[in-house]
Amino acid sequence: MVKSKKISYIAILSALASAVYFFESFIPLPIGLPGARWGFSNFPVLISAISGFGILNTVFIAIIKTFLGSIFSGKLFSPVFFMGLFGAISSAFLMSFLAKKIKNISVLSISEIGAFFSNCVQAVIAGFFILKSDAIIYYFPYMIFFGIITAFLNASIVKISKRSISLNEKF
Amino acid sequence: MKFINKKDLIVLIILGGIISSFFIFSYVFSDKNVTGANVFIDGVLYMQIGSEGRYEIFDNENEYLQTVIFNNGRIKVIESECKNKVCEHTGWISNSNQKIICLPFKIVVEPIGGKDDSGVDLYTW
Repeated sequence: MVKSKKISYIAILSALASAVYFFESFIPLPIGLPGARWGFSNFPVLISAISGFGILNTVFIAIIKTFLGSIFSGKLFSPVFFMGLFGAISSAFLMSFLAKKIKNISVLSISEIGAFFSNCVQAVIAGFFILKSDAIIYYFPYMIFFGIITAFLNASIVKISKRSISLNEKF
Repeated sequence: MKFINKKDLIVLIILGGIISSFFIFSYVFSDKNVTGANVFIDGVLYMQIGSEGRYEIFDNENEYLQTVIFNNGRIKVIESECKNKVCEHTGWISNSNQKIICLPFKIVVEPIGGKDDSGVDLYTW
Protein backbone atom coordinates (compact mmCIF):
# COMPACT_ATOMS: atom_id res chain seq x y z
CA MET A 1 0.00 0.00 0.00
CA VAL A 2 1.22 3.47 -0.79
CA LYS A 3 2.59 5.20 2.29
CA SER A 4 0.32 8.22 2.12
CA LYS A 5 -2.72 5.98 1.82
CA LYS A 6 -1.56 4.00 4.85
CA ILE A 7 -1.08 7.18 6.87
CA SER A 8 -4.54 8.43 6.04
CA TYR A 9 -6.08 5.05 6.92
CA ILE A 10 -4.35 5.06 10.28
CA ALA A 11 -5.55 8.61 10.94
CA ILE A 12 -9.14 7.71 10.07
CA LEU A 13 -9.04 4.61 12.27
CA SER A 14 -7.60 6.60 15.17
CA ALA A 15 -10.28 9.26 14.90
CA LEU A 16 -13.00 6.64 14.64
CA ALA A 17 -11.69 4.77 17.68
CA SER A 18 -11.49 7.99 19.73
CA ALA A 19 -15.06 8.92 18.87
CA VAL A 20 -16.38 5.46 19.74
CA TYR A 21 -14.38 5.55 23.00
CA PHE A 22 -16.08 8.79 23.91
CA PHE A 23 -19.59 7.63 23.13
CA GLU A 24 -19.35 4.16 24.64
CA SER A 25 -18.81 5.66 28.07
CA PHE A 26 -22.46 6.74 28.00
CA ILE A 27 -23.77 3.22 27.56
CA PRO A 28 -24.15 1.62 31.00
CA LEU A 29 -23.33 -1.98 31.70
CA PRO A 30 -26.18 -4.16 33.00
CA ILE A 31 -24.10 -5.01 36.07
CA GLY A 32 -22.11 -2.36 37.89
CA LEU A 33 -18.53 -3.48 37.44
CA PRO A 34 -15.70 -1.32 38.72
CA GLY A 35 -13.73 0.26 35.93
CA ALA A 36 -15.39 -1.66 33.12
CA ARG A 37 -16.73 -0.36 29.84
CA TRP A 38 -17.93 -1.92 26.62
CA GLY A 39 -14.99 -2.44 24.32
CA PHE A 40 -16.49 -1.30 21.04
CA SER A 41 -13.65 1.16 20.45
CA ASN A 42 -11.40 -1.80 19.70
CA PHE A 43 -12.80 -2.54 16.27
CA PRO A 44 -10.56 -0.01 14.45
CA VAL A 45 -7.62 -1.61 16.25
CA LEU A 46 -8.83 -4.98 14.98
CA ILE A 47 -9.10 -3.64 11.42
CA SER A 48 -5.56 -2.35 11.66
CA ALA A 49 -4.31 -5.63 13.11
CA ILE A 50 -5.75 -7.83 10.37
CA SER A 51 -4.82 -5.46 7.54
CA GLY A 52 -1.14 -5.79 8.23
CA PHE A 53 -0.41 -2.19 9.14
CA GLY A 54 2.26 -3.33 11.55
CA ILE A 55 2.47 -3.79 15.28
CA LEU A 56 3.68 -0.25 15.99
CA ASN A 57 0.89 1.41 14.03
CA THR A 58 -1.77 -0.73 15.71
CA VAL A 59 -0.42 0.10 19.16
CA PHE A 60 -0.32 3.74 18.08
CA ILE A 61 -4.04 3.64 17.27
CA ALA A 62 -4.75 2.09 20.68
CA ILE A 63 -2.73 4.79 22.50
CA ILE A 64 -4.35 7.60 20.52
CA LYS A 65 -7.89 6.35 21.11
CA THR A 66 -7.36 6.16 24.86
CA PHE A 67 -5.75 9.58 25.15
CA LEU A 68 -8.08 11.48 22.84
CA GLY A 69 -11.21 9.76 24.09
CA SER A 70 -10.26 10.45 27.69
CA ILE A 71 -9.47 14.09 26.94
CA PHE A 72 -12.88 14.51 25.31
CA SER A 73 -14.75 12.83 28.14
CA GLY A 74 -12.77 14.60 30.82
CA LYS A 75 -11.44 11.48 32.51
CA LEU A 76 -7.75 11.83 31.69
CA PHE A 77 -5.46 10.09 34.20
CA SER A 78 -8.33 8.56 36.13
CA PRO A 79 -8.08 4.88 37.19
CA VAL A 80 -10.33 3.82 34.31
CA PHE A 81 -7.97 5.65 31.93
CA PHE A 82 -4.95 3.66 33.10
CA MET A 83 -6.81 0.37 32.98
CA GLY A 84 -8.03 1.16 29.48
CA LEU A 85 -4.64 2.35 28.28
CA PHE A 86 -2.67 -0.73 29.26
CA GLY A 87 -5.49 -3.06 28.28
CA ALA A 88 -5.74 -1.51 24.84
CA ILE A 89 -1.98 -1.49 24.26
CA SER A 90 -1.56 -5.13 25.24
CA SER A 91 -4.62 -6.14 23.24
CA ALA A 92 -3.36 -4.28 20.15
CA PHE A 93 0.07 -5.86 20.51
CA LEU A 94 -1.35 -9.36 20.87
CA MET A 95 -3.88 -9.00 18.04
CA SER A 96 -1.33 -7.84 15.48
CA PHE A 97 1.09 -10.52 16.65
CA LEU A 98 -1.56 -13.22 16.25
CA ALA A 99 -2.60 -11.95 12.83
CA LYS A 100 0.95 -12.01 11.61
CA LYS A 101 2.34 -15.21 13.07
CA ILE A 102 -0.50 -17.74 13.14
CA LYS A 103 -1.81 -18.88 9.79
CA ASN A 104 -5.48 -19.47 9.13
CA ILE A 105 -6.71 -17.75 12.25
CA SER A 106 -10.09 -16.14 11.92
CA VAL A 107 -11.10 -12.61 12.84
CA LEU A 108 -13.37 -13.85 15.64
CA SER A 109 -10.57 -15.74 17.39
CA ILE A 110 -8.21 -12.76 17.18
CA SER A 111 -10.89 -10.52 18.62
CA GLU A 112 -11.82 -12.89 21.45
CA ILE A 113 -8.25 -13.60 22.50
CA GLY A 114 -7.42 -9.89 22.36
CA ALA A 115 -10.44 -9.06 24.53
CA PHE A 116 -9.55 -11.73 27.08
CA PHE A 117 -5.97 -10.51 27.29
CA SER A 118 -7.12 -6.91 27.64
CA ASN A 119 -9.39 -7.89 30.54
CA CYS A 120 -6.54 -9.78 32.22
CA VAL A 121 -4.24 -6.75 32.00
CA GLN A 122 -7.02 -4.45 33.24
CA ALA A 123 -7.65 -6.70 36.24
CA VAL A 124 -3.94 -6.79 37.06
CA ILE A 125 -3.65 -3.00 36.83
CA ALA A 126 -6.73 -2.50 38.98
CA GLY A 127 -5.68 -5.08 41.55
CA PHE A 128 -1.96 -4.44 41.82
CA PHE A 129 -1.51 -0.76 41.22
CA ILE A 130 -4.74 1.04 41.95
CA LEU A 131 -6.47 -0.86 44.73
CA LYS A 132 -3.53 -2.90 46.02
CA SER A 133 -5.87 -5.78 46.84
CA ASP A 134 -7.24 -8.90 45.16
CA ALA A 135 -10.79 -7.66 45.37
CA ILE A 136 -11.17 -7.47 41.60
CA ILE A 137 -11.00 -11.27 41.24
CA TYR A 138 -14.69 -11.67 42.06
CA TYR A 139 -15.63 -9.37 39.17
CA PHE A 140 -13.14 -10.88 36.70
CA PRO A 141 -15.51 -13.51 35.16
CA TYR A 142 -18.12 -10.80 34.59
CA MET A 143 -15.52 -8.65 32.84
CA ILE A 144 -14.54 -11.56 30.59
CA PHE A 145 -18.19 -12.26 29.84
CA PHE A 146 -18.87 -8.74 28.59
CA GLY A 147 -15.53 -8.78 26.78
CA ILE A 148 -16.60 -11.88 24.85
CA ILE A 149 -19.88 -10.29 23.80
CA THR A 150 -18.14 -7.11 22.67
CA ALA A 151 -15.45 -9.08 20.84
CA PHE A 152 -18.08 -11.01 18.94
CA LEU A 153 -19.78 -7.77 17.89
CA ASN A 154 -16.46 -6.19 16.94
CA ALA A 155 -15.55 -9.16 14.76
CA SER A 156 -18.98 -9.06 13.12
CA ILE A 157 -18.59 -5.34 12.38
CA VAL A 158 -15.16 -5.93 10.86
CA LYS A 159 -16.35 -8.87 8.77
CA ILE A 160 -19.33 -6.99 7.41
CA SER A 161 -17.38 -3.83 6.62
CA LYS A 162 -14.48 -5.75 5.11
CA ARG A 163 -16.38 -6.03 1.87
CA SER A 164 -16.40 -2.29 1.35
CA ILE A 165 -12.88 -1.59 2.57
CA SER A 166 -10.20 -2.58 0.09
CA LEU A 167 -7.30 -3.22 2.43
CA ASN A 168 -4.61 -5.90 2.44
CA GLU A 169 -6.06 -8.98 0.81
CA LYS A 170 -4.87 -11.38 3.49
CA PHE A 171 -8.31 -11.98 4.98
CA MET B 1 -20.74 -16.37 5.28
CA LYS B 2 -20.07 -18.72 8.14
CA PHE B 3 -20.14 -17.01 11.51
CA ILE B 4 -18.32 -19.48 13.72
CA ASN B 5 -16.16 -22.32 12.53
CA LYS B 6 -14.59 -25.09 14.55
CA LYS B 7 -11.43 -23.32 15.70
CA ASP B 8 -13.42 -20.33 16.94
CA LEU B 9 -15.68 -22.68 18.85
CA ILE B 10 -12.66 -24.15 20.62
CA VAL B 11 -11.51 -20.69 21.70
CA LEU B 12 -15.00 -19.84 22.93
CA ILE B 13 -15.30 -23.09 24.86
CA ILE B 14 -11.93 -22.50 26.53
CA LEU B 15 -12.99 -18.98 27.53
CA GLY B 16 -16.32 -20.32 28.80
CA GLY B 17 -14.47 -22.88 30.86
CA ILE B 18 -12.32 -20.17 32.42
CA ILE B 19 -15.40 -18.12 33.30
CA SER B 20 -17.25 -21.07 34.84
CA SER B 21 -14.24 -22.13 36.89
CA PHE B 22 -14.02 -18.63 38.36
CA PHE B 23 -17.75 -18.67 39.14
CA ILE B 24 -17.58 -22.09 40.77
CA PHE B 25 -14.59 -21.04 42.82
CA SER B 26 -16.16 -17.85 44.11
CA TYR B 27 -19.54 -19.34 44.97
CA VAL B 28 -18.62 -22.72 46.37
CA PHE B 29 -15.69 -21.66 48.52
CA SER B 30 -17.41 -18.82 50.29
CA ASP B 31 -18.61 -18.29 53.83
CA LYS B 32 -22.23 -17.45 53.88
CA ASN B 33 -22.46 -15.71 57.21
CA VAL B 34 -20.83 -12.32 57.24
CA THR B 35 -19.74 -11.19 60.66
CA GLY B 36 -17.99 -7.96 59.86
CA ALA B 37 -15.94 -6.11 57.34
CA ASN B 38 -12.50 -4.66 56.81
CA VAL B 39 -12.26 -1.34 55.04
CA PHE B 40 -9.06 -0.69 53.12
CA ILE B 41 -8.10 2.64 51.60
CA ASP B 42 -5.21 2.41 49.11
CA GLY B 43 -4.24 -1.00 50.45
CA VAL B 44 -4.00 0.13 54.07
CA LEU B 45 -6.48 -1.07 56.69
CA TYR B 46 -8.61 1.88 57.71
CA MET B 47 -11.42 0.51 59.82
CA GLN B 48 -12.70 -2.79 61.13
CA ILE B 49 -16.43 -3.25 61.37
CA GLY B 50 -17.54 -5.79 63.90
CA SER B 51 -21.06 -4.89 64.86
CA GLU B 52 -24.11 -3.82 62.96
CA GLY B 53 -24.53 -0.17 62.25
CA ARG B 54 -23.76 2.68 60.00
CA TYR B 55 -20.18 3.75 59.45
CA GLU B 56 -18.76 6.75 57.65
CA ILE B 57 -15.45 6.74 55.86
CA PHE B 58 -13.23 9.81 55.66
CA ASP B 59 -9.93 10.27 53.89
CA ASN B 60 -6.66 11.72 55.16
CA GLU B 61 -7.85 15.31 54.93
CA ASN B 62 -11.02 14.37 56.83
CA GLU B 63 -13.20 14.76 53.78
CA TYR B 64 -16.29 12.63 53.62
CA LEU B 65 -16.00 9.75 51.17
CA GLN B 66 -18.74 7.18 51.66
CA THR B 67 -21.06 5.45 54.15
CA VAL B 68 -21.13 1.71 54.75
CA ILE B 69 -23.91 -0.03 56.64
CA PHE B 70 -23.81 -3.52 58.10
CA ASN B 71 -27.26 -4.89 58.75
CA ASN B 72 -28.71 -8.40 59.04
CA GLY B 73 -25.49 -10.10 58.02
CA ARG B 74 -25.19 -8.09 54.81
CA ILE B 75 -23.09 -5.10 53.86
CA LYS B 76 -23.91 -2.24 51.55
CA VAL B 77 -22.44 1.08 50.54
CA ILE B 78 -25.32 3.48 51.01
CA GLU B 79 -23.85 6.74 49.89
CA SER B 80 -20.68 7.72 48.11
CA GLU B 81 -19.18 10.89 46.70
CA CYS B 82 -17.70 9.30 43.60
CA LYS B 83 -18.91 10.12 40.12
CA ASN B 84 -20.00 6.78 38.71
CA LYS B 85 -21.54 5.33 41.89
CA VAL B 86 -20.57 1.79 40.93
CA CYS B 87 -20.05 1.06 44.61
CA GLU B 88 -23.66 1.99 45.36
CA HIS B 89 -25.00 -0.10 42.50
CA THR B 90 -23.23 -3.17 43.82
CA GLY B 91 -25.92 -3.37 46.45
CA TRP B 92 -26.08 -5.79 49.36
CA ILE B 93 -23.33 -8.35 49.56
CA SER B 94 -23.61 -11.55 51.57
CA ASN B 95 -20.97 -13.59 49.76
CA SER B 96 -17.67 -13.36 51.58
CA ASN B 97 -15.72 -13.50 48.31
CA GLN B 98 -17.34 -10.36 46.92
CA LYS B 99 -15.84 -7.08 47.95
CA ILE B 100 -17.26 -3.65 47.27
CA ILE B 101 -14.80 -1.58 45.28
CA CYS B 102 -14.75 2.17 44.76
CA LEU B 103 -12.05 2.80 42.19
CA PRO B 104 -11.72 6.63 42.29
CA PHE B 105 -11.30 6.62 46.07
CA LYS B 106 -9.40 3.29 46.16
CA ILE B 107 -11.69 1.93 48.87
CA VAL B 108 -12.20 -1.82 49.28
CA VAL B 109 -14.88 -3.07 51.70
CA GLU B 110 -14.06 -6.68 52.37
CA PRO B 111 -16.54 -8.83 54.32
CA ILE B 112 -15.21 -11.19 56.93
CA GLY B 113 -16.87 -14.57 56.87
CA GLY B 114 -17.76 -16.12 60.17
CA LYS B 115 -16.49 -19.54 60.89
CA ASP B 116 -18.68 -22.23 62.37
CA ASP B 117 -18.67 -21.22 66.03
CA SER B 118 -20.50 -24.01 67.71
CA GLY B 119 -18.13 -23.81 70.62
CA VAL B 120 -16.51 -27.15 69.91
CA ASP B 121 -12.79 -27.19 69.21
CA LEU B 122 -12.14 -30.71 68.13
CA TYR B 123 -14.11 -33.68 66.92
CA THR B 124 -12.92 -37.19 67.49
CA TRP B 125 -14.51 -40.28 66.17
